[in-house]
Amino acid sequence: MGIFNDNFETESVGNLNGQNSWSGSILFQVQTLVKNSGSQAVGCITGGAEVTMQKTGSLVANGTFTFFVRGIAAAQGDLYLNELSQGAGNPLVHINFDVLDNYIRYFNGSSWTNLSTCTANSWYQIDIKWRSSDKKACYQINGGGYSAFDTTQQPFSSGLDTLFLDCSATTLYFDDISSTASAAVYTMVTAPASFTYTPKSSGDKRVMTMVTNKATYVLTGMASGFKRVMTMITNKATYTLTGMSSGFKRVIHLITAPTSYILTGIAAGITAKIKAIYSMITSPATYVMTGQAITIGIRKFYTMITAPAQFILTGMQAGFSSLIQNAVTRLTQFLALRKINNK
Amino acid sequence: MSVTLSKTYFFTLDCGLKVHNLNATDTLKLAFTNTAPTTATHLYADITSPLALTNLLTSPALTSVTYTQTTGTATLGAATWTGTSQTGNFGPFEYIVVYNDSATSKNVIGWYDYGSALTLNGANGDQLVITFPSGILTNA
Repeated sequence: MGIFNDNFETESVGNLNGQNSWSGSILFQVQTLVKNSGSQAVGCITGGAEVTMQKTGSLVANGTFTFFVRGIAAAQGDLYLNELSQGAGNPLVHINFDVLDNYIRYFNGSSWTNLSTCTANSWYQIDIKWRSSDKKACYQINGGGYSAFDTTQQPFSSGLDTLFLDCSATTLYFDDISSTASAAVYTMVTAPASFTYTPKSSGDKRVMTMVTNKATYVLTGMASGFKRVMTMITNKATYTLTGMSSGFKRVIHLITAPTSYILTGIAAGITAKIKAIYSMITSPATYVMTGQAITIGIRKFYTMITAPAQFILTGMQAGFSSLIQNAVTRLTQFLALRKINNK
Repeated sequence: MSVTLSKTYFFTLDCGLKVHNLNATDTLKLAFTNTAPTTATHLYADITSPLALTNLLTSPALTSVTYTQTTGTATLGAATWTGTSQTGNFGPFEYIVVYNDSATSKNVIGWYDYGSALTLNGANGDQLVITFPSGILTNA
């Protein structure tokens, strides 16, 4: 079922206005002299003023619309397809038929595109196809192949339901209006869910890890529910612990001689739950602890590090300092140890 | 933009309990609902108001289901599913649930969120095409 079909064979000859749900100017007349098929068509003779005729049918989200149009010399007119709920004066699909300037064209909201030339006293079949997936339409003249889908003058919301015939100069004829609805095709491209056993999810309470001589040890993405991470690692090149979520209570590390030790990215929100971070690390080349958005909740922060080439502790935000009770003390101890080691 | 399967928490449990035989033995089907499932949606009976399939011309069963592994990662795959509506409208639905129709209780694997409610016009024969270019799920 399309918007509507009308070949003007059932209307009475004379004024189209008021017949078969048509409404508009009395200059649109059902007549028998010029027709594309059958015995009747509609003609509009205007004295120069722009006149319109309209009819509303079924709302069609995806479909095609076909009509035949013909003009005498210097004829000019337009055809609009609208969605009536968006306002009668709100043209969506817009075709311009212009014998005077010798073209049939459409408007995409910003520019005109010529579809064909046109000459006086010849019938032209114009097909319009529209789709709701991207609110675009394409056009075909005399079955010569559809243009590419393009935006309409204004985007429709749900579909199209109303035809406006417009005659602005000399005489135009219209006949054999038909419409069909077409199937919409919706697509959904999926991505797989991952059922890896990391990141750990809520419910695990502790992660206890003892790793010896691994080149790299990475523990990431722990989700809510973890209570403790206790790690004892010897002689690894790199140790990284990132992305702890809410629920952590303690992080305890005993690590010997990594090349580097990195503890980063502890996010806001976990802070109220983490109570202590303990680290005892011997002789890393670099020790970095950055970016803590920890503001409340942490009560203890112990770090004992012997003789790193670098020690960096940055990024603690407001509130951190007032709640960490032992950081300064431990840092002092660290400096003392470093001093001892430097001896 | 691709839509990622949301898993029910019970899927991993069901795997351990031999509920699923995913390698083409069990029949996986799609169910359609306009109410979001949750991670606690375990069985087909837990799906809120699944649509009757009267106006869906196509079987909701997935075809060419495979469960294979590469370098330790198993992938559950299926052929593109094209659903065509008929007669009256099919919808509205926003969520497409994948479940195991062969399991005794029709256990749910997961679901997709189309992003907005969709109604297929049966008179027009509207279609929904779902592709699984990287599979439905992976297990590593």
